Amino acid sequence: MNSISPPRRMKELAVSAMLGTDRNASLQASSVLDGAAAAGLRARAGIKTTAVSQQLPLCGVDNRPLASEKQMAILIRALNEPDRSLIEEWSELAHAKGLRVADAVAPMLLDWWAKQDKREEVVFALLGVRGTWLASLHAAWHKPVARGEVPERADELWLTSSGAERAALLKTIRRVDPKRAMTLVRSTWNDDGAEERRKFIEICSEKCSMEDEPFLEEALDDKSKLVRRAATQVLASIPGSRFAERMRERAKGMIRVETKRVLLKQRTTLRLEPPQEFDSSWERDGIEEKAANGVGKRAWWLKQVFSFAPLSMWTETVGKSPENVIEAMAGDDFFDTALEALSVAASTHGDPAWCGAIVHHKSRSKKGLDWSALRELTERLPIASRESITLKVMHEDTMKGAAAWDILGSCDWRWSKDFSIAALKMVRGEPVGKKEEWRVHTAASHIARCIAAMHAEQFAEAVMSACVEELPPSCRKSIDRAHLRSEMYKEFAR
Amino acid sequence: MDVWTSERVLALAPDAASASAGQSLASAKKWSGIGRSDRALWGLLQGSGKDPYQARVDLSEPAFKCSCPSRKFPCKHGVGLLLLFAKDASSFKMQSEPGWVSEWIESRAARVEKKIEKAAAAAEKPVDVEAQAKRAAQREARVQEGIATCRVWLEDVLRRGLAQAQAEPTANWERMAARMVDSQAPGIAAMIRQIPELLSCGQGWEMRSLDHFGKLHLLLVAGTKLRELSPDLASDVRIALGWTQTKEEALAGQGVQDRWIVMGQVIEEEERLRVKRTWLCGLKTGQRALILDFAAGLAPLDTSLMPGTAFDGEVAFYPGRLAMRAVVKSRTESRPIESASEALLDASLDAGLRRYAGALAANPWVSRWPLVLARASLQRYREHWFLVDATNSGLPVKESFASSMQMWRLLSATGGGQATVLAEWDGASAQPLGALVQGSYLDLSARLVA
Repeated sequence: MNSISPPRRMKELAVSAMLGTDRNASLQASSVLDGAAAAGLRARAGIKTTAVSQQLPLCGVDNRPLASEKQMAILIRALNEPDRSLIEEWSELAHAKGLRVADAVAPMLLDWWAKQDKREEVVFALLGVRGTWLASLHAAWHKPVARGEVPERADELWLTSSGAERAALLKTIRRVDPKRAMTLVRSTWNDDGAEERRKFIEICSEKCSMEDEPFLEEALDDKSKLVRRAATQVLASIPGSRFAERMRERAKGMIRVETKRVLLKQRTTLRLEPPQEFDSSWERDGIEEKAANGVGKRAWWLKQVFSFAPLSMWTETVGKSPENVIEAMAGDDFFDTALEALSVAASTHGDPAWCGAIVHHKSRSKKGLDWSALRELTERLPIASRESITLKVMHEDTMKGAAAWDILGSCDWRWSKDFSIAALKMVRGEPVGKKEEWRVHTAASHIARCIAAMHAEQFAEAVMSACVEELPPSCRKSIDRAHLRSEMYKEFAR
Repeated sequence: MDVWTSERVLALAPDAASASAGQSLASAKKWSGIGRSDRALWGLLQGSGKDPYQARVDLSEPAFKCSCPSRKFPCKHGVGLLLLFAKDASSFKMQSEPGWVSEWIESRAARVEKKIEKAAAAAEKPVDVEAQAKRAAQREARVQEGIATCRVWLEDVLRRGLAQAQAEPTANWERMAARMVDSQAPGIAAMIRQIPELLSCGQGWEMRSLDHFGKLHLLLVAGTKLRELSPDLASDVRIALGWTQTKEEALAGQGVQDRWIVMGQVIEEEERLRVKRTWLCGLKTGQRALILDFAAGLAPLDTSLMPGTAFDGEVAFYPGRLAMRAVVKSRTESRPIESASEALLDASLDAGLRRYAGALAANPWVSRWPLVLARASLQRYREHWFLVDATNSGLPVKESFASSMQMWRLLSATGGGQATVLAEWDGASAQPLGALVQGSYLDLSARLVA
């Protein structure tokens, strides 16, 4: 018995034990147990180490100074109860200061980042060589890092992958090399299904240019309506495309400029005159003849043409600023429809001047304010104009109480110092009424992430002055978050 | 004062909620009347009650007390106050302690002294010898009865075979475990409760299960021969069977004086108890000591031993053939550690395993053993992670550790290079609990990354 090694002896015993000693007349249960007790103990006592000759590559040296302990404590807190905006803001501040994350915390930040749907590059950049090194060792972290590279076998993958994988591949390539992406799409265009073709066009709407125009113009003759419609959307956003030019001419044909002299002043009026008959050439460009129920045919045609036509048409034709153009149209029967169409065009083109003009006009209209409609338009504007428009809307409507909190809660950019002061001034000291306090709580959770960090104290005061009841924990948390951000900025300002 | 880092304070919080609540209380604005002396911190905080809560922290260990009604320990106020101290010690002005602080500190000191006195007194004065002997004899008989039952049952399991055992419902094992508890042999019960998991866990389960059955069998056989064994060995067997040793027994003995490093700590659920295992290593003597602390339900676990700190003091061992389990008899305040000494290190993994073999020879039921290695690294080999020493010898890393963030923290802190690592060896795999990387301590059990 002593001649064989304890682990082997254990293996033999395990075979007998597996079946049970009842099945083996020559064995006693107690002798198997005796054997296992002795051999098991000897095996444990005699366990050997394994020779491990392989070595991981060493992580490169990162010469950036470490973030301070206090700075790290804030990041760890943000990671513990994952707070996306706080983590990203911290990363931006640390990256801007040229600091590095404590080595033992780096994998926590990398892991958080890799799990996000939308990954801010600044976080990975902050992790530096250590991030790259860690990602090379862990598949789940390597994947998002590799996402920015065009795979070597892209052409082969394009032919062999499934739908979702092809879409992801195309997205990556389009970002890095738009031309190559278009070549891939064209290479299989005739064999791909309608839904796939539509998706590819949608993906290519990112970074589209006149280079893509001929292909998209061809797509207007596609046999699938889905594809045709997708193509019109993309073409409308390419300045100078044949499609856009056709729309420009059509739109031009629907307006008439009248200039009158009233009391020594020249006054321009725009008359909107959609045609009486449907032009069959419109159909190819995706303009629908039949209107939805309750909408007049002519209004429907006008709306479609105006939303596709280049915005430059208006200022060129009328010779004035977007504000003047809108003013000149006001009063026309088709004005509301035209304004709707212009809102669509202004948002698709992201034209700040037009967005501003429309918002401005709407904010002065007597019809009451639909902030949600305005919100979408203001998104396209630079932060300074968003802020001034928001203040204007709040001011002109002498907006008070919960409604004012709603608006501030939807301002999801990083507020400037001036805006923070002005906005808080407008809501401070105004109890909103017990039943409406929840709206303040909701708004506070958004504002806490956006407000200029140094004004946390004023923010806390404003919230407390608006609510008579005791604040719920969620709201106290928002206030804590604002304080934490202010602490964070202080720590990075040192 | 860099004993107090946010990381270390947060590790003291009993759960994630307290840690997070403590963090939002770590702001001077929330407190009134905060102050400190050279041994304590205190502060008042307006809670939902009429009177503000009085929170106080004894800095020597630390220890906490608060007048709030929370059953968590330390409560968020204690964590918040100490966290604030870690972040911004300047908000605490040195001043004389208010009565409610000094009284508490002094009563604590008095309590520790009393315990040692009591231990000494207990050793000297044998109470009602007759009744004690009767109780002991009763238990002895019950345990022997339990051992006999269990032996028959265990052989029966082996007769039917492990394959059959695997198919048995957990309730059957639990029933036998409950019988052993009734027989006042909780040590046997605990071993039986581990069986279902061993039977169901993946490749090699039959070897691990058989080893466990062998260990149990050895204990049962030894249990029937208590009278024939040497007193020390008999005492080890009795502990394995489930007799408890009291702190007083350990305190009564002569302790070992050294500078003790708190090398690592782990909290696990065991038999409906939370068990905190803390490994100490003596800087001069190289002696290792295991401090166990148990808590049921919401009862607090001791917070006085913080990984990565050291204290000068006397550590006393429980009687037995292997000096391992111990209590802290006297100590100074915690201070940070910078480096380990040669004395407390294992020269290599093989040397560490030899010490483990020695420990098994003294007490075959030792289940965990500390390995303390300088220049250790983590390496990947054949799809598994290994803890590797400077001679390229490796031991497999525990699966649950390899798949946790803790491993990546260690790996990232070392950058693929070497560090001084304390790991717990359980006979099959190693679990790193703490590391010294370039002079700073990395706690690998902290909840921080749960």
